[in-house]
Order: sequence, then C-alpha cells, then structure tokens
Amino acid sequence: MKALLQVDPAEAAPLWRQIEEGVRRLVASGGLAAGALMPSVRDLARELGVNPNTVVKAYQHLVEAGVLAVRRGDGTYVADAPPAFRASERAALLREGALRFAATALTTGSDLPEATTFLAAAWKSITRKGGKS
Amino acid sequence: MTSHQAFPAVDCRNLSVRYGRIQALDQASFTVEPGQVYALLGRNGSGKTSLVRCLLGHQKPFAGGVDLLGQDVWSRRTELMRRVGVVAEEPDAPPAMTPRQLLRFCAGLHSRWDVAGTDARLTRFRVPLDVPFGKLSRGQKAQLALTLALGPGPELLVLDDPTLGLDPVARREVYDELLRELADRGTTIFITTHDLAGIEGIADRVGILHGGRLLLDGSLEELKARHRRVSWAPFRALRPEELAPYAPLRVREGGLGGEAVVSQGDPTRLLDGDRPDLQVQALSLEELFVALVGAESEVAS
Amino acid sequence: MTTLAVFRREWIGRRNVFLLGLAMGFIQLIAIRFDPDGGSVHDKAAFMAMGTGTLFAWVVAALFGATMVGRDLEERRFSFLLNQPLQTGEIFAGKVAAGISLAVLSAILLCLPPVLLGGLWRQLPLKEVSRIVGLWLAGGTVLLLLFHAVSIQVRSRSSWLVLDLATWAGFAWGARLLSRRLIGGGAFEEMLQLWLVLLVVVTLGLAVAGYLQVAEGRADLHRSHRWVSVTLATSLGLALLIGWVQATWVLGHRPAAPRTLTASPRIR
Repeated sequence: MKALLQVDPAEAAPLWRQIEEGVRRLVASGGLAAGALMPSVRDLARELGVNPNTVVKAYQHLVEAGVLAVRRGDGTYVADAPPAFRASERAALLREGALRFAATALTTGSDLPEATTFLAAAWKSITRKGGKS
Repeated sequence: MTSHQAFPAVDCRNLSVRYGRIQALDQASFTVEPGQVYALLGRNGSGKTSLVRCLLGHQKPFAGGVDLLGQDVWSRRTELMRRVGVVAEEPDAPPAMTPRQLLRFCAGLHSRWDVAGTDARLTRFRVPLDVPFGKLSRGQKAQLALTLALGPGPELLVLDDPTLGLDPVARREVYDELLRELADRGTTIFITTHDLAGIEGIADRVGILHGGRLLLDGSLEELKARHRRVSWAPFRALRPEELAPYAPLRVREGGLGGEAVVSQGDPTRLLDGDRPDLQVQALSLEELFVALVGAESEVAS
Repeated sequence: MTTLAVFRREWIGRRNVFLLGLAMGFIQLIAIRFDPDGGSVHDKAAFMAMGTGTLFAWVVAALFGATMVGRDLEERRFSFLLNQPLQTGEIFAGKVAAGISLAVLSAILLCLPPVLLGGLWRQLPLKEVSRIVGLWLAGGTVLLLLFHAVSIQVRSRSSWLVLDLATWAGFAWGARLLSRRLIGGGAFEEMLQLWLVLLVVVTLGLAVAGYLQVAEGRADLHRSHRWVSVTLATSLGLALLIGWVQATWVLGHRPAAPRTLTASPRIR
C-alpha cells in the first residue's frame, strides 16, 4: 500500500485530503479493485507515519463519497461500484497533472507529439499492471 | 468515557517564569484537548524547558498556572502522575539500575500496569533487560523511557524531545510506538521536538515558543493553509505595497530571485497579474518555523 | 511501601559502598595482625575498628547528603522521581533512610572482620556496641542533613549564599556569647546542655529544610535554595532564642552554686 500511496506532510493539501485523493486515484486506476479490503486505520497510519485520526478522516470522506464501504465489525472495503470522479473534480485533477507533465516535457526540450507518445505509453503500462481493460 | 473528558488535558494559563531579571516565559497560554497531539516547537533558550517543568509540576511558576486533566499540577502532582506518562528530555533514570529493576520500580508505584503491553513493547524495541541503564544506547534509553511511561496506560503522555540524538531507525521506532498508542488508546500527547519533519504528519496542533513568548498556537492544518511562500525571478521582486495585503513575515532576495513568506489572504491572486515568474507554494512545518523564528542553523537537531 | 521503593533505588546505585566497607575491614585486620610493635591485638582492633568505623559512617553519610538530591538536580535526574506518583515526603524520607542505613551498615561491615576474626567479639560489651552504633546513627543523621542543605545552597550559585554565611556566622557568634555567659556564671554542665539543645533544634531545622527543599523547591535549584536558607535561618534563630531562654533561666535560678565556686579561696 505504501508504495502505491504516497503522502507528503510538506505539501499544501492537508494530509487527509492527500490520502483521500491517493485512494481515489488507486481505485480509479484499478490499483485497488472493487471489493478489496482496505488496510486498517492503525496499519495505514503507521505505514504512512501519520496520525491515525488523519486516516480516519480520509476514510470517513471516502465512505461518504461512496468510494469505500464499512462492513460492521469486519473492516473497510473498496465499494463494489465506486463512483467515478465528478466532472469538475476530474477536470481539476487532470489539469494539475497535465501542467506538471507539460512543464517537465518543455524543460527537457521535448515537443507535443513526443510528449504525447510518452503519455500514451505510460497509460498503457499502468492499465496493464492494474489489470483493467 | 470518564469525567476528565470535560476538561482540557492540558490547560496552561498565563504561565510566566522569571529568573531574577530574566523573563524566561511570558504569559504563555494554550490548551490541549483530550485526544489531541500538541507539538511545542522552540529553539534552545526559547523558554521550553521552563514551560515543561511547570507543566509537570517540577517548578512553581512566577505567575499563572497549569492544570492537567482538570487539576492543578503543582499541588496535585502525585495524584496526577498516576494518569500522566512522561518521557524526559535527558534520559533521567538512575544509571545503575537495569531495565528489569526499573520496570519493577515503576510497576510497583502504580495500581494498574499493562504487563502484556509492556512486554510487547520491550520485544519490539529489543531492549536488553539486564544491562545497567547508564550503559544502554541513546535509542534504547529513549525506548525504555517510553515503555515505562506507557506502562500504567496514561491518559496524557508528555514527551520532551523524545527523538533528540536518536538514529533514524530508533526515531522511526519511537514514532511507530506513538502512532500505535494513538490508534489503540487515543492518548492525548504533548510533545516538544526539534524534529519538525518527523512530527509534521502526527501533530494536530502546534505551538511555537520564541523568546519566552508563545508566538503562535493553532491547528497545523490551519497554519499551513494560512502561510504560503511567494517566490519571484531575479530583479522582479514584488513591491512592498503589493505584498502588504498578505502580511509578509519574511522577505529575502538572492541571486536566483527572491521570496516572501506570507501569513494571510490568498496569495494565488498575485498570479492573476502578468507575472509568469511568480510561484506560490505551501510550506513545510520546518520552513514555517524558520520563517517565524529566524536563523536556520539552530533548527536541525 | 513507596518509601521503601525509593529506599531500594538509592541502595542499588551505591551498593559499592558496602563492598568498600568490607574491603577496608579486611585491610584493617591485616594491619592489626602484622603490626610489628606488638601490644594487645584486642585493644588495637577495638580502637581501629571503632575509630575508622565512626569516620567511615560519617563520611559516607556526609557524601550521601551532599549528593542525594543535589547531584540529581544538577544532572537533571531528579525529574525521574518527580514524574512518578510519589509524595515529596516519601522521596525525602526514602532518601534519608537509605543514606543513614547505608552509612551505618557499611560501617558495621567495616568493623566485622577485625571484630569477628580479630577475636574482639568475646570481650565486647553489648552496651558499648549500641552506644557506638548510636553515635554513628546520630552523627550520620546530622551530617547527612547538614550536607544536603549545604550542597543545595552551594550548587544554586546564587547571592543568597552570602546570607547563608551571615546566618551561620551569626549563629556561631550567638552560641559563643551564650556559652560564655554560662561559663562566666560557672554553669559548665548547663553549657553542655545548651549545646545539646542547639544541636537538636538545628538538626530538626535541617530536617525540615531538607523536606521543604524537596516539597517546595523540587527541580528548581534557586527556589530550593531559598526555602532551605529561610528555614535554616529561622531554626538557627529559634535555637538561639531557646538557648537564651535557657541561659537566662539557669543564671537567674542558680546563682548560689556558681558564686560559691568563684568565691572559694585559691589553693595555691
């Protein structure tokens, strides 16, 4: 989980939001399959080195958003049919990621067609690993 | 749960400490609510030692006072220490006693003692039980001190720079143990530290002590949302009147441009002007601390 | 119960004192056996064992007193006890009891080899033994308390030390004045009584000062110093007052005996 989910306390976004977004991304990319068991709050907090309350808060938001589901006395699971990002959320996240990628491409002296090739290749490699068509 | 939940875990009111003419602590006030993790940051000589001593009832303040779990700590120290675990800055156990003897000593003073939990911690920490305390490594001393402090299942844990001088592995183990304790028991934690990167993901609330005054006291999330760094290209420094609405704390110019740490408003609005060179970034706790308190040299422990 | 825990803790740190005492006892035994001057081995054993025993007990007590809280405070180790649910009275009592018992028991260990192996035990009257041990106890207690107070005063390095010196000087001056008054009145025995009274009152004062250092001063050396100094000055003053009342009463009620003594004609 730790390898897949990275948080950085020094970033602007609060830790719980970083966890929330990280989990959403993992679910969307198939890194976390529908119905998969989530690590316990205690384990995830220790893995990430963050306060358990932060993880609780992230999980709460994810449960409210329907991404995760709690089965009483059993644990927290990825929802069977996790909702996709809302259009506005998706646009914001894509814009942010694209800006970062575009900046990297520009500073290395690449052009748009080359950058697009790399983007497509990365896309393929991730979706293949995630096992999602 | 119990009646103590009605009180703050720590209530520090107008705490002042003087040594002759020197004012070591000037009217410091803050509270720590049950379940919170409060990190007190300050350079050496900031008044931190005096504050911690008053907070534990080791020293009588010149003015003001401290309540722990709703009781005055100076007059009710003995009773309170049944419910408060402490890890001191300097490893303070008698050097001739072995961990086994220390465990017996501390367990004997408490009516409740979590034997299973203590054994589990000792196993995790791999502390040798029959080596005199004075001969243990710095990390083992800190880990044993933490084990002793957690033994009676305290409601409040006070840690005075517990990771000072520890190697990265021992430090990680100490934080792991704290996170475990937080997850299992939701213990309130008051911690002073120089390890800003280590505490950043754990603290709920932060206080910054400087020159005997509590410069800042607030939720970490809110502090980080409020403080931003604005940086610019060489020779394109923002004019003071442009920065003024955002309450700059610290403005610096260098060969590669300059930067300002601002403390209010939304500085991203500056980007709306024709300034592609401007960047607005979040600050790490360490950067925030340096911006507020000054010189970087003392921050690294 | 918890006092006992403090007591044990103090012993663990200083158990080498016992070994030292025993080792010195054996050295003495050898010295007595191989003394070329000859003479009664028993007498020498008695003299050396009791002499060095007393010295040892008192030095141990004094050193213990000088370090029992003062060194902990200086090394920032006193917090360990303050962070436990221990009453300040238990901490103080545990430490004092540990120090005195350490001093007396190690002195007994020191005397054991000459007494047992030197054959002295056959002619040692029990009364004598209890008197010697009593001397160790009483002297050890006074020294331990005194050195505790003084070590706090010295270690705090504050200007209050001047006041302390003035207090002691004043006390010495007052005690001398009272002694001379009594001597001048011919009441020699009463003067010894006066000294005993002063000693007892001052020792009580030292005990209270030591306790208040822990209870009120805690980890704050300066505050500890102030409490010790004020308590000590009060008790020294009180001792002098009691002494003055005693001297006045003695001289007022027993004028006859000394007068006749001074009025008696010279023999030579």
